[in-house]
Amino acid sequence: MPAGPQVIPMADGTKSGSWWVPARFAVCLVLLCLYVRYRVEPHIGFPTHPGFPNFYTNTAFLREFVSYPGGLATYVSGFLLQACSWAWGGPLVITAIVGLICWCTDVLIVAMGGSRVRGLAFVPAIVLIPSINAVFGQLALFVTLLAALLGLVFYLGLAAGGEGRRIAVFAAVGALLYYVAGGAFLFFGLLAALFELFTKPRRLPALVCLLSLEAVPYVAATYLFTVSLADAYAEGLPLPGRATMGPVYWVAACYGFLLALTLGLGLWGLAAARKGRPAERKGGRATRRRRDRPLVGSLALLVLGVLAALATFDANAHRVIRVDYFTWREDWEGVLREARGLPPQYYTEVVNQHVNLALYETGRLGDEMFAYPQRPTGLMLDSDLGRTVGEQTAKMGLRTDLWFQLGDLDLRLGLANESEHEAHEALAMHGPHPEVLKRLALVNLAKGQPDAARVFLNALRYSPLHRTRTEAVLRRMATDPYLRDDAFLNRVRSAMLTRDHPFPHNALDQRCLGLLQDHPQNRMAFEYLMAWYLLNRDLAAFARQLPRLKTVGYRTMPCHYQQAVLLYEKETTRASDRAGYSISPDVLQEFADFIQALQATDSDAAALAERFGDTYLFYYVFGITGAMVQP
Amino acid sequence: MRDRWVVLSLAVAAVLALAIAAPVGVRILRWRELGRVLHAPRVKPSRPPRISPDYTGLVIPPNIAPLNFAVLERGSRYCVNLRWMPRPSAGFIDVAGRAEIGIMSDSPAVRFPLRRWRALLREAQLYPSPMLTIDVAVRDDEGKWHQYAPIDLEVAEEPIDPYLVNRIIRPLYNYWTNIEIRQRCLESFEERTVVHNRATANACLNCHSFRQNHTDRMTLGVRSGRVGSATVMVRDGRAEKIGTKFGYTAWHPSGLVAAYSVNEVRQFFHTAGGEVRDVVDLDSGLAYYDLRTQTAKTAPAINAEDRLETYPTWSPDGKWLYFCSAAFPWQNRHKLPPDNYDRCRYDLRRVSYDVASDRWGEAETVPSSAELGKSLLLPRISPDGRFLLFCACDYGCFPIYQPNSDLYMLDLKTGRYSRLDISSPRSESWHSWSSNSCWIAFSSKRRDGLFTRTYLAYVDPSGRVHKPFVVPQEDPTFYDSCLDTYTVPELIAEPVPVRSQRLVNVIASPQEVKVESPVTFGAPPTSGATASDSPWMPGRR
Repeated sequence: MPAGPQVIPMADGTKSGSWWVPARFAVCLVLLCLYVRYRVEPHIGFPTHPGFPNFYTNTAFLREFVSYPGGLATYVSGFLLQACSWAWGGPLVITAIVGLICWCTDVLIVAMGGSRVRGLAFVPAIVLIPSINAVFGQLALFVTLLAALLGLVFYLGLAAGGEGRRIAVFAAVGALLYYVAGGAFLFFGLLAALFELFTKPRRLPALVCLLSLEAVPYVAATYLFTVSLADAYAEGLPLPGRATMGPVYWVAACYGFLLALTLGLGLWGLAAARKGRPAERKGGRATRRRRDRPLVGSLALLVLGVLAALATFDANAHRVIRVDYFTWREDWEGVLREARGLPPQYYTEVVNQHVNLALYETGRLGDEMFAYPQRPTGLMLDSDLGRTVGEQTAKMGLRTDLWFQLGDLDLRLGLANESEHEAHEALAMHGPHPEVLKRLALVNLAKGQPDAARVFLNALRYSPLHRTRTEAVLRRMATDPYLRDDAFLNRVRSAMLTRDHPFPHNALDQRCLGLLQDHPQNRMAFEYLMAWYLLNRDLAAFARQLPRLKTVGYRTMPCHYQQAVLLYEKETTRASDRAGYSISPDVLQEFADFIQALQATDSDAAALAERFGDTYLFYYVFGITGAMVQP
Repeated sequence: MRDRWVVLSLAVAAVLALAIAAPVGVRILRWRELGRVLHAPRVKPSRPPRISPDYTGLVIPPNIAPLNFAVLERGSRYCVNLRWMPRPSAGFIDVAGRAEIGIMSDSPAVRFPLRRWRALLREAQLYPSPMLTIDVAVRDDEGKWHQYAPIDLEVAEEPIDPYLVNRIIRPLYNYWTNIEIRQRCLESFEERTVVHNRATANACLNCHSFRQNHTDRMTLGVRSGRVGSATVMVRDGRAEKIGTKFGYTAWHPSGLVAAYSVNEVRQFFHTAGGEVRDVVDLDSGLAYYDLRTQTAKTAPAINAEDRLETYPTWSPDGKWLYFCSAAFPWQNRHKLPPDNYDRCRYDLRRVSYDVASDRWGEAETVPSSAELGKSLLLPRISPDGRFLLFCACDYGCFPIYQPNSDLYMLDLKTGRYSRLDISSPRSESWHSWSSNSCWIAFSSKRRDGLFTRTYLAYVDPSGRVHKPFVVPQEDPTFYDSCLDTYTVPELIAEPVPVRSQRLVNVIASPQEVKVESPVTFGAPPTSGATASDSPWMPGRR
């Protein structure tokens, strides 16, 4: 039977201690840190994805988290993950958290008498790599897992002595842990019970540990906190449906591994005791042989880690996050660069929307939009949630970042109220994310409501990352409440709807027409309107809007418009009102070539894609762009 | 060994002495500085200082929590002195040695210590009609002190009900989260969660209602996919779930009957203008729940087929039910927004009721919407039965989304009504009376146009409503960055008697009192025109 926890250091099991274990540990962590920094790049996802917990320094924000068990762990996660705004900050924090989890695992292994298998302490790091690869969403769960393990380490360290002392220590650590990390307490209690049962059967402490698993959350939900019974047990645990972003099964797998490890070591010790040999033999040939091969074990773990990283890192999903990131930075060339060549299943509506925005902002929407995959819903995300509560809930559940991604485009178009609506939905769904607060401040400034804007800016001032800039804006507002010299705001104001138009859901064309009615020179509304008609192949409506080209102020007609004019005239055999714009000879030639090639290839999209795939002619005939043709 | 104990004891004594002496020393130094500042030469602007929240020229309750504020004048050091004095009209009264609170601070945020504030107000109340005077001096960057004109506050004799129950939410649209019914003690800054929807599977919680400012009868509406639509009813400290959702609820003074509305509420959005959201009741009617028989009923007088009825409220003697009522302005009940939604205006009506025989009289219009050209909503009668406070806005049934919604007072003795001067250019709504009819609490967006905050105002015996003030917070800058809205402020005389955990359990429980709603709305058409454009005819039973 192995002894209780005599030594709980991060050192080898040998008395003299070895440089090997810490060195191996350090090397693994350095590699992990480098991997996270250069491959995962959490700073890319941090500003643009609502899965990262928010953090503000004011007491009103803290009060939300201290009112329920597990809230503090989320609060601490939010604080730690602020580091993700720096390229190296996120990797260092994530590495530190994972490193501590491994260290706690090592302590657990030693305490359970498994000094010979201390290499397994690195397994949590390997199991968590896929979760790290997902970039967002689960890092708060790492913190609760770490809290549970740290609680266990404290318990193992402090609970030497009689049963009464052990129970007292368990009660103290457990109560604190439950308040801080919520449901992770269950994991802590289970591991503590297993430890008590297997290392030196102390039935009473084990029984107390097990009973507390049922009792503590129940008491908390019934008498102490305003939480539902289900939340009292599950808050902070990696259960499906509880995390806002991404799957949680890898974190759950880590929990499973740690449980299996504890159980396995306990049973192994028990079996060894029954056979009458000590579980931990000092010296011995087999042990020596194992110690002679530390490099092999370490290399095996390293290979496993690399395999886990390679197998679960989704480079295309990462590119999608980069598209969001570059959109946020208004690096339009970066958006187009990352989106180019994305496989169809990754070229989501959000990417499509960002690409079209990038094309518009660089003045190329009318000339190049069909060089990228396009679908009619890709101009602006579909915000229709359906009529029934069930439909709405289902859609919201499926598209958790929909509202987060929607508002910017609306604001640029001049749909300030819709942008405000979407930002408020995002605020309700994801909490006060700094980007949402910024947008709400912008919308209210654009609408001439500086007092309301000030509330959002004052709230944003409590974000450590945004304080300086926000205070500068507030200082500007002290002398110019409406920020009349702000270029972006002036652009929005010049495009904003001035009358209430009852638009139906998802009618981008009607929105754009309304915008043009109020501001005929709203170029963005015009281009999006024309793009909408082109994508829906409504050439008659497209042709009706051509006279607006002059009002909006084009020098030449964009290339795709020219192609659409030729198609319309060919189809209707009528001349359209080109508003004095001419068709370039190149487009005329391309049109003739396309008609000829279409007949020659018997309308074979694959054959025509390479030469004509980026033209509207191709899209009009096949309903897809060349980039969407499967080879 | 003994020496060790001596050293240890001395060390402990030294630490204790330091712990006691340090704050006293700091306080003495501050007082000395305060004394120097009070007698230092200074520039004297003739105006009072700008402070936030604006607490100048108020009538305040004698039991209100400290009115902490932030001085908006730029400076490097702030000196605030709060004292009380009898009103000049009270004649000569010797008040030498009266309590004062002096504060010296580098921060413009002024926080009065709760205990000393209370002591000062208690002492002031010993004299008739006391005034509070706040002197503010600000030291500028050059070291010059600026002494501003004093801020005077009048302390009313009548206390306000000590508790306020609010619904606290973000400015929500479709996705409902973080809804809390919170009880605030107005005599301090203590708050307590009555119920939070985090614990109820994000259920929508709304329309908390009490019987005449007392918590022996309370209802709370719950709506959720998981726990269904229901009403939590608290009776004499016991909570139970009623299997139908009460809309806007009013308790009969006897506590035997609760009148409530049944509303087919729809939200829609404006694409331009300050307020994005709007709400319409496509249909609505009134019903009442009789606790004696545990049944819900209705009557033609409160649920007419050709009218929309909502916002019931009882007269304090329980003989009249006041409510809002509008003729159906639209034909198509499935179009959103419905045609003529901006022409739908509600009248104030009342109907007599005898609780003993359970008999209703005929409905009569009190003031009509046609008289004002506005929609008259949210009637609430003062507990002494003298005044009826209501909102009037351009159209519709939801004043909180109408920037033009103002407060009006109807004198039930004379039948005359007028717009209250305290109304701001922004939305006023959700008002309630204190049990002594001397204070009102209401929701207003006057600060910024978006976030609703709760304001309190004194109503003197003539019905004049004095300058309102926002409910004070411990942190005077609290509202500057608060992203929550405070709605449905209900003043109550005692705290809610049920723990929030109990309410959560009742909400989650499958056990409920089965009640069949007596108000049903017409079913959607089954043939002919499509649901979106077919005309709808009232078809309620």
